[in-house]
Amino acid sequence: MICENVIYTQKTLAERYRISIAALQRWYPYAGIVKPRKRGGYFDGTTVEIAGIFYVAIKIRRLTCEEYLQQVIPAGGLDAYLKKVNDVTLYDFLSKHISNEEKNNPIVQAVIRRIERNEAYQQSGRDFAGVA
Amino acid sequence: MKHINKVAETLQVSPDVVRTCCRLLDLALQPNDTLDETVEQQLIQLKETASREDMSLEEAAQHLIAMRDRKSEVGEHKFDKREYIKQRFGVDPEQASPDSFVGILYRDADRGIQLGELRHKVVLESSTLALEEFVFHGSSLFAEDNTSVPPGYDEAQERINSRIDNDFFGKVNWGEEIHPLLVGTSIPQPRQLKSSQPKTGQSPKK
Repeated sequence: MICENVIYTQKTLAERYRISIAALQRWYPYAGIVKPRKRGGYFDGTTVEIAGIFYVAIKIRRLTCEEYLQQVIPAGGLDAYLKKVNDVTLYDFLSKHISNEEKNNPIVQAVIRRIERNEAYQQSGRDFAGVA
Repeated sequence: MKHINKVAETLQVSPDVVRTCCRLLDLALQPNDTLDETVEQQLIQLKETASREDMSLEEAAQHLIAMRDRKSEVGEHKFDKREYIKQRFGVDPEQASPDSFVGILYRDADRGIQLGELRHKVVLESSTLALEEFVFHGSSLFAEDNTSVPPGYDEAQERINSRIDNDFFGKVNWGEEIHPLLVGTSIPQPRQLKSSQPKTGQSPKK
């Protein structure tokens, strides 16, 4: 599971979230997903990340789509929103405050790993800057 | 290419606000709800200004529009002889009979405009000629047929130069030897440029 598949079409992404393509398409205006131009085209990497965050927001944090649009985005993203509203970071929320079953959800896992990767990257960056 | 929601997230406003701003400022929002990078940069700049001035993004957009309008008003201000006569004499010259005072003035305005254009050309041409004179002969001020030098000019210039020499250069401790930085160079390089301009730059000692 170290190397995860990030190349998704609308069909495979919908399968990943276990929803229909039509349901996935209903997310687009809320999540801010740019649809691939061609049928069977692939999403770009950042779009998949956005979709993952949106999934966590509505399924795990149980926000409505409207709430996501009206509150999460103006707050500056899910991490900032959780800090503001629940006083936890997204990482703490996913790693400490949800049930084990939800924790084992592959999408939650992927989001956690991505945050860890980013933090590791930022820390090493900071150390490097400190040495230089 | 970024989705409008992502840009909204960066700007920390709701996507509707971004939409409104794009509409107000005529920024291109693609049909699939994405924004170009240039548009995104413009919005970010707007946001930076807005937060510096402590106002919302929409308010900042309104301000920007107001500023644009003002600018275009100033830019479009042109001399209009009809408006001018109307403002000066309180009579619309187009309505006034052609042999009335205002009517005659109105016709004279054309000559005034011609004269203005001519003056503009004369200023341009004479400044070009003066520059040419200056470039090729060092100083146009001493050109033979130049009548623009007022009487007493030479004396004043002389006075200024002697003051510079005495009050400024005179007070500098030059020492008797050549300045160490000048040792390597063969002597009067900087003077060559000024050699045709004998009134200035008389350095007192070599």
